[in-house]
Amino acid sequence: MIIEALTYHHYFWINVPKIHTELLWQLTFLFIGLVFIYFTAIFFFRNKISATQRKVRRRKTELSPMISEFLFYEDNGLKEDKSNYVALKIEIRELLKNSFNRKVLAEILLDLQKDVSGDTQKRLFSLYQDLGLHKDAFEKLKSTRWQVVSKGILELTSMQVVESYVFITKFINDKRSTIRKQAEIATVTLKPEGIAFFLDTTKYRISEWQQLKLLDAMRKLEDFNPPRFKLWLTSRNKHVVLFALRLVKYYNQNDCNASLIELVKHKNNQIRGEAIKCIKEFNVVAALDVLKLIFWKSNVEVKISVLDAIANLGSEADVAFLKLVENKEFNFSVKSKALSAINAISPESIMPTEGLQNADVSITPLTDVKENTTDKTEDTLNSKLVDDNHIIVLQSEEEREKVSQVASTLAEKGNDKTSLKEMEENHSTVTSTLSKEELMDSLDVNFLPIVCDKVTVTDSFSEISETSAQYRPNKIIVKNEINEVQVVFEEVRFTQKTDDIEKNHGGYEVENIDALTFDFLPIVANSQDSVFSNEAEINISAVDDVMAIEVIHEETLGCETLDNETHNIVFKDGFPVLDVPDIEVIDPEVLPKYKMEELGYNLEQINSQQTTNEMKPTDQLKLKAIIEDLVVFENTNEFEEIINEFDDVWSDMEWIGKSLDMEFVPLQKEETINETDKASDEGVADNLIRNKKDNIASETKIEDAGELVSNDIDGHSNESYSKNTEEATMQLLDDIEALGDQREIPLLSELLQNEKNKSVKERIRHLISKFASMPFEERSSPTDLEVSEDIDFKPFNVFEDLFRTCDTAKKLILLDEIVAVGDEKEIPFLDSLLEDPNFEIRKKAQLGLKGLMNKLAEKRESLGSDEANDQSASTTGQSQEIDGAVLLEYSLLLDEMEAEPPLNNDIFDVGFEFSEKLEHVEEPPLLLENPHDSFLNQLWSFPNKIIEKLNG
Amino acid sequence: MVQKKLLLAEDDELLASLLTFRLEKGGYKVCLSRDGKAVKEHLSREMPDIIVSDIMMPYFSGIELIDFVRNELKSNVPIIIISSAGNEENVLSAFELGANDFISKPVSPSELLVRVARELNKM
Repeated sequence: MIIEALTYHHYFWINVPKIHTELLWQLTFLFIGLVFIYFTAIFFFRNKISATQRKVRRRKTELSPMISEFLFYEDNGLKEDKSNYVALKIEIRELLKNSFNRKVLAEILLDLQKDVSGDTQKRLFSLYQDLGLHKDAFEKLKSTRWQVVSKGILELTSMQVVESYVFITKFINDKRSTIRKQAEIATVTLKPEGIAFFLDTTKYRISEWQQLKLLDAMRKLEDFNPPRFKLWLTSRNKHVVLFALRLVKYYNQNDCNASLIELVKHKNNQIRGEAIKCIKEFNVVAALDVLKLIFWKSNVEVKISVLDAIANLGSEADVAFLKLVENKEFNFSVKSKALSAINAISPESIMPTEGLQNADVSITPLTDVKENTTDKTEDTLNSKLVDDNHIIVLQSEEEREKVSQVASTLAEKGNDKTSLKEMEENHSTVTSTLSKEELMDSLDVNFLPIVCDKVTVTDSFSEISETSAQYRPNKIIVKNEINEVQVVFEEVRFTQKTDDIEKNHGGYEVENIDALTFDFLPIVANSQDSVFSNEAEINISAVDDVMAIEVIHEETLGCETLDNETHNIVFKDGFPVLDVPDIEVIDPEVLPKYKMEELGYNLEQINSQQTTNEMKPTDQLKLKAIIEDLVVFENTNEFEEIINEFDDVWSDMEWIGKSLDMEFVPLQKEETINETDKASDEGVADNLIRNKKDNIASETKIEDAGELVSNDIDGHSNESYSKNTEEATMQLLDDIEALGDQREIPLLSELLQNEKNKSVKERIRHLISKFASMPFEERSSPTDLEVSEDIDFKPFNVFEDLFRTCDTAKKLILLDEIVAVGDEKEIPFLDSLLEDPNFEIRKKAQLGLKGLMNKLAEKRESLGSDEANDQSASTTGQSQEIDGAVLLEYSLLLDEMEAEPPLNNDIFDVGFEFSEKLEHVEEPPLLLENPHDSFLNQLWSFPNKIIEKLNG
Repeated sequence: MVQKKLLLAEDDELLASLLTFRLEKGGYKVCLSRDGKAVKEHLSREMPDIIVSDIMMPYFSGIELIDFVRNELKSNVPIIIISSAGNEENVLSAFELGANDFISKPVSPSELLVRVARELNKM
């Protein structure tokens, strides 16, 4: 029961409230009544309107024959007609006494005037005035309702009541836009001079639609003689100027050329554009210079208008400007317009360039060749090889024949990437064993552009074309500088060899290839596991697909440095290698082979086939250093230095005349730099160690990757290398000993683990023991200590930094806070503030200092009475502080009174009651240590703070 | 003299009244139809000497009327079209279907009278 009561007791307040059903019923009836009234009103007004409309229609039906009678009445008619007309006139005068009838008559006439024209319309207008209906319209003009006024103006205008002109013109500058616009049209419609009056008078904007309507009104005017609209080109209303410009153009009033030229400079872009259109329409050639001047400051639309005008009016002299526009302008439309303008002035001077297929292709694509006949191919070649400085034209008939022959042969073969082995079956002249030159021939490198020295190529081009038809780039480019070489069609087009190619293959002269400069080319090697050697038999099928050949390091750092050199490529082991004629080259066999293992070549086998040449250890180191530097060389000078150094060192070696076989490995550079950068953030010893480690690591990497140092070099250089490493480590240890401390112990431990040299190990152990036994303070040198003694370090004050960055109000608040939370450390800071130029801060600092001292005194007192000595000492200190506080108060007083302190102030030494001050300090009966910390005090001081803040 | 029968198909009451008045005054017996249905009914009952029709009419446009007269009734009765300004496409269609003449709004009743007389004289 209790549980139940407790359970349901809580729900009393969410019970359903008592409903006043009577009120609900009353509300229901009220709303039903309102709905009834609403629908009744709608029904009533609808019926009333319908009844009125029916009445009007009926009256129209009655009156329309009367009006027709009046309209088509002829004086020379029959007598019956005349009598009928008179009777109608009497009847209608009676009807006109009723306003409703007048209204209906006016409506009839207004409706009819739209549908009839000619003589009937004129009669209609006169009937309207004869019936005195225009008076009603005049009355409407007096109305305060805009729609009534507007309707009156419309009625008078439609019925051509010219007398209303004077009344209507008053509304031209009416604030109500509907009336204004109606008045504008009426003014222009009623009298021919209305347009002039309107343009003179109007102060408001003339919308485009309004301009059209005004123009239409003028067009309908009979015997309208348009005024010289140039008169309004000087109007202050820019809309009038714009409308006048359009009217000038519409009525072909070309006697305002000077004004048009001036208006081209108008600030308003619409006026500018319209003026330009007029200039174009009237062929104002004198405006061209101004058009060019304003072009750059115009918007896109005006620019296009200017270019359009120049295209119409311009001559060859303007083409330069148009080209400048085409180059400088960023907007696509403007650029296109400039191009079209150029072509308009000098037709077809700009030819289409976008979306065209490469027209410079010397060899037509295989599919095209397959479809076309040989003659067509020749024609294509003749037509497409443009006689340009950079393009060699196949002038001789023989050359063209050979190229077309090759092309047609390849076309027969199609694009099928059959292996050379298959080709061997198809063609009888394939050799199974190739020399190294032949190996290059067997490699499908026709996807590579042929780049050659101009002189060399021009001399030997015929030979190339005869002997190496497989090297058939789409465009042969002659360039002196490799960097300017244009590479065309890098994609592989042909991978097959033809009979002609193979026939010429045997006769392929190595000298021709040597004459070419291939040093910009990446090394291309097959990734298959075939063994490469000088004399090795190369299976032709190993190079079946050029697309499958891995291209390693397409980025060749040496390109920039070698461009002006007369270097040649010498083929070694199937690789194009650099031949530097100005230097004595190193035997490639002692230089590192490039990633042979990665390429799948058996290094041991290769090494076994190579002649091992002994090198001097020093030379090896030098060479190694050079190679190491070559990894990161960046500019020509650096490379030159290396080469010269290299030349000096190796001038007496026996491998002169052999090619320098070295590769540039850029990947090491970035890693080294990155690691060095990281190391720059570390300490001196760390840097030293890291740099050394980096050097070692980079050397290791080079060895691991490969590959840059041959096994021979590794073997010979181990001893000297380790010697160098030992020296470097010893140097490092010297540095650590001189500069390091206990923190170097972990590094030294690491070095100890990695080090193999006993003497170095001992040295490291010695250093570790030295640093371990050395107390931390020892690392400061005596001189440092002396210096530190001499320096009186200012204690760090957290408020000082804040104080520097805030404004006066905040400073004052901060000073309060210093007193509240500060301690002894803040005293010097507050002391320094006593000399602050700001009086308020100075004053506040004095008070703060005083308060802080009091607070500290309280603290000391509260330490306990059992420390008598301390207490006495604190009392002494306290008294001193109080003394200081008194002095502060004194100085504050002097500041306030703006008085100078006396020179001899001994009199004040005993002039103050310390006890009172102390009592005063102890007065606040608060439990809080600092009175400023109390909530009430803070509340109390809050308004003061606000006031202070407001006062700045 | 026998009055020529003229069928005027015009939905605008005022204009129809005015034109009727003028045409009757011009000596024609005018039958006024306010929409396309009435025109059809009238034509099925009696064929006038000439038809003056507005192009835009309720239920049955002037174009359909021409088509009805020329293709269904197989009549060569002259048809003059009254068209609104800017409705040249309909006028062309009307001529293609066999309209004899056209007059554009606003209509000059005198002009219409002359055109009607001319068409009747052609017959």
